[in-house]
Amino acid sequence: MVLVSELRRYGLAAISCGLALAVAWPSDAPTSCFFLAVMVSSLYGGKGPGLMSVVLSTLSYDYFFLPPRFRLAIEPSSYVQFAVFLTATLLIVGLVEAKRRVEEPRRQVAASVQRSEYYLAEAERLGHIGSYASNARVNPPEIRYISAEMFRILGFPAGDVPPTTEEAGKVFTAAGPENWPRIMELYETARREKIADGEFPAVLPDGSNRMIHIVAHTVYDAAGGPDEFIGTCVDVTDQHRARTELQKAFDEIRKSENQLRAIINTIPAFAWSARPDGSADFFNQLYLDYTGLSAEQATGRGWTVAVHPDDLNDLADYWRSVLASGEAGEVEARLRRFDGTYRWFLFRTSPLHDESGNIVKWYGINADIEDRKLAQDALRTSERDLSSIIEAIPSLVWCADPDGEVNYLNGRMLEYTGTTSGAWEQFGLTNFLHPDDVEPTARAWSGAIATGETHEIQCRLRRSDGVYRWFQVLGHPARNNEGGVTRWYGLLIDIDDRKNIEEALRNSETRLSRAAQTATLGELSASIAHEINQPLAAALTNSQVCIGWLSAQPPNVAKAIAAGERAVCTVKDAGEVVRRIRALFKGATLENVALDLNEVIGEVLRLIHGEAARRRVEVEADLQAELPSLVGDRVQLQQLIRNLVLNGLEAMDQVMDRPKKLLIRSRRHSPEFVLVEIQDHGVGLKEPDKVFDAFYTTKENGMGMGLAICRSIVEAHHGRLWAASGEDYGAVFCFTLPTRPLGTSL
Amino acid sequence: MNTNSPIVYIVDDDARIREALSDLVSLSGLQAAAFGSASDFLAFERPDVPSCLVLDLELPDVDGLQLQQSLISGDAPPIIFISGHGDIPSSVRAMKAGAIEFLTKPFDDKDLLRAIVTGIELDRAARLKRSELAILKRSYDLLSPREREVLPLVVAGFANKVTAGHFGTSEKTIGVQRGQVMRKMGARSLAELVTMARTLGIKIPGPA
Repeated sequence: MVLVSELRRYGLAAISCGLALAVAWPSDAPTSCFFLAVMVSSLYGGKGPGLMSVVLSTLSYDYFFLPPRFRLAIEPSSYVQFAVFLTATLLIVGLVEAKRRVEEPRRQVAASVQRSEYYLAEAERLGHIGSYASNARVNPPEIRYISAEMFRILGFPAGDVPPTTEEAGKVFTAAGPENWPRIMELYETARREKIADGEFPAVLPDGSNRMIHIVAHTVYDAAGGPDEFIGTCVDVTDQHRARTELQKAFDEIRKSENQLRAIINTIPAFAWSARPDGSADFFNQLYLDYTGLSAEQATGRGWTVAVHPDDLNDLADYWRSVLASGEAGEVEARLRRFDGTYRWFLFRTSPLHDESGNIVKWYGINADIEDRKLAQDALRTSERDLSSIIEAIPSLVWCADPDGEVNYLNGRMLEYTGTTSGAWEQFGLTNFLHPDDVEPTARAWSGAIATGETHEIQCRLRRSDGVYRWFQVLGHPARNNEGGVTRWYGLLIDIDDRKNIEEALRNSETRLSRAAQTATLGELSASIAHEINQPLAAALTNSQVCIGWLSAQPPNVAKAIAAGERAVCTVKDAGEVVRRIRALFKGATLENVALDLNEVIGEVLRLIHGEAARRRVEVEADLQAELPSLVGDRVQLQQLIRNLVLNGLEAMDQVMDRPKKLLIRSRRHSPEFVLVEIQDHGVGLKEPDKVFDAFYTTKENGMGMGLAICRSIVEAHHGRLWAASGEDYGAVFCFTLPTRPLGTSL
Repeated sequence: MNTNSPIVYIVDDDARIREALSDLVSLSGLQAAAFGSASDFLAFERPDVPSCLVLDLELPDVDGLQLQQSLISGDAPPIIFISGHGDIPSSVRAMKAGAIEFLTKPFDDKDLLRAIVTGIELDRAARLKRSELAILKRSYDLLSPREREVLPLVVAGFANKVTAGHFGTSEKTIGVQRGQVMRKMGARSLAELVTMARTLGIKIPGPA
């Protein structure tokens, strides 16, 4: 750049000299042209180019104009001319240079001032700092000057004329009238203390809200009175906003810190923290209050003195394992209170990780679980008690899901079946049921599950030794508030003995008495035959043996006598049997009592319930309520109904293709008679009229006496017994009995 | 009592019948052992002598037919049923199940004694058969596996040469083995060996 500038300067000198030569050539006064060239070169190029133009001009003048022309040699006549020319050019250069020397500093100052002003404006623009000057002698101060940036800050269109004090003031009063006195106060302070500043909200003419920071600096006059304010205005809206936000954030932080502290010190748990190595470094107040330790005592490993000695090892082991694993954990241990009592606590801890996943802190809380623990213990005790009760009661107890899945069996149940819970889960109840009971039990159970009604059925359950015993199965549903079944609770009651007793009621009395009470005549006669045949057989054999001993060689009289005596005894026995049977029939006098026939039917149905179940017959009773009572012999009427019902049951033994059903119905037949119908779905009657004849039988083992007896009973009660074929199949046996009280005898 | 004389077992729940029958049995010169129930009888260790069982159909614990069923296998004595009821179906069942007689009370002593004698004879024969079979089985157990293989072929009447060909051995070896079989089985002739094989139930191959 310098070189270019130099070249330009020297070039200018060379060109001006060339031009001077060209202009001077045709004229008569070449010197003035050269003088002009020198002056121009010197004025614009400086000293160097000026001297160069002097040299060039002198040489050109000598060569072209001084005689001898076109030669550099100078004639003596021209010496003076040459000297004058040279002196004149040098003088010109000297004068011009002198002038330049004088003018240069002034020019430089002006340029510098211009540059400074430019820099200032630029700086103000970049820094958003406006500057102003105002008269401090008047109040309010009168604005003398504001910088370009200040126009922008105050939202005025850029211009040369500064706004008036009122105009500028409006910007601030628009944000609030109280701003004006505050600004005045600022200037008052500045007058007094030389410098003052303040931030004021402003509403710019374009309506935007800003915050402006005003600095005022007082310039004093010679007398020491305030002369002028020079100051700056800065738009600090963003900073102000940021500061406000920051303050708010700080406030929030302080608040949450306070809250946190409050929380940590008031939560009903002991809070603590520990360093990554496991040594404790903080305990909340509650913790310290509880243990009675100071923060210093508790820090590090000090807190362990409050742990129950029995729990300390476990706790320490656990704490070590947690530290090693680096994962959250919890453990229970007893902590000593300041008064020396121990309470159970749940220690819970979890680690805080830094960004790279390293544990920087362990935080923990200890919750007082003493009461819960006590409650748990109590619950456990009560559970144990309850469980012992359930295990001890002499019944088999079970529980099942709402869908019927058995999920609990008491020990007795398992003991009885000789299995484990596992086996039950695997095979279920079915495996332990008597094969004949599997299907009805399953049906009843699914029915109970479907309807949610109490489950009750009798079935045979296999004992561990393989013996089946009768059980009454009872299941009761537990329900939730909506009425849905949540669980089934049940009992299995061993009714085998009862069942046996029931059985014994039917069977175990002597065959004779049973036959007399309830059996058919066929059984009765068979029993009588057996009872008599036994002693007869013995008597016969004894007699033959007696003869045998007598006819032996030699006869054994002693043995013969013994045999004979035995024969006599057994014959007597036979006589006794006959006598007993007669007495039985004689003694069985009929009793006339008022009775409810429905009740009698009910008794019989209860009696034959087992028999019907064994034969898979569904017995249905349709008994008319408020049936007139009648007078008769309860036992005989029972026998009558029982015979007819049993006949019906037996008639269905061969039936396979339809439901086995027996219906017993009681009706008021007429004002004087009640009617009982017993209808079966059996094989039916070939000859309904003959069935009541004695010795008529269709049964393999029957003697044909049952229905004959039935008829005689009905007739003895002045009723009527008849039979008919059923509508589709089976038979109907009907009898009527009079309702009015009978006379003295049947 | 003679420990080797046949025994008549009497099972009846009626003491009067037991007494009468025991006396009847001893009158006929046999031993009698009377029991009031099936379980008493089963608990009794029966001596190894020919015997028969007079069994009442109606017993308090296990009835006569059931006892009969449980006795069917093994060395049970022949059974004579006596019954106070004498219904046809049970008598049929009893006879079908192998009873030798079914008498209804009261019965004639001659009928019973005849049945008893028959029963004891049957038992005696069965025992003999059982013991012969036992001896044969013991002899058969002495045979080596190869000798047991050779036996059916010998009994079937194959010449030693054929048998040797069958086993791929020499005729001489078969001859030795055949001798061993005869000796170990105690057979004096081939005919006797054939009878033995039949008794043992050995399958004899037909002619090749």
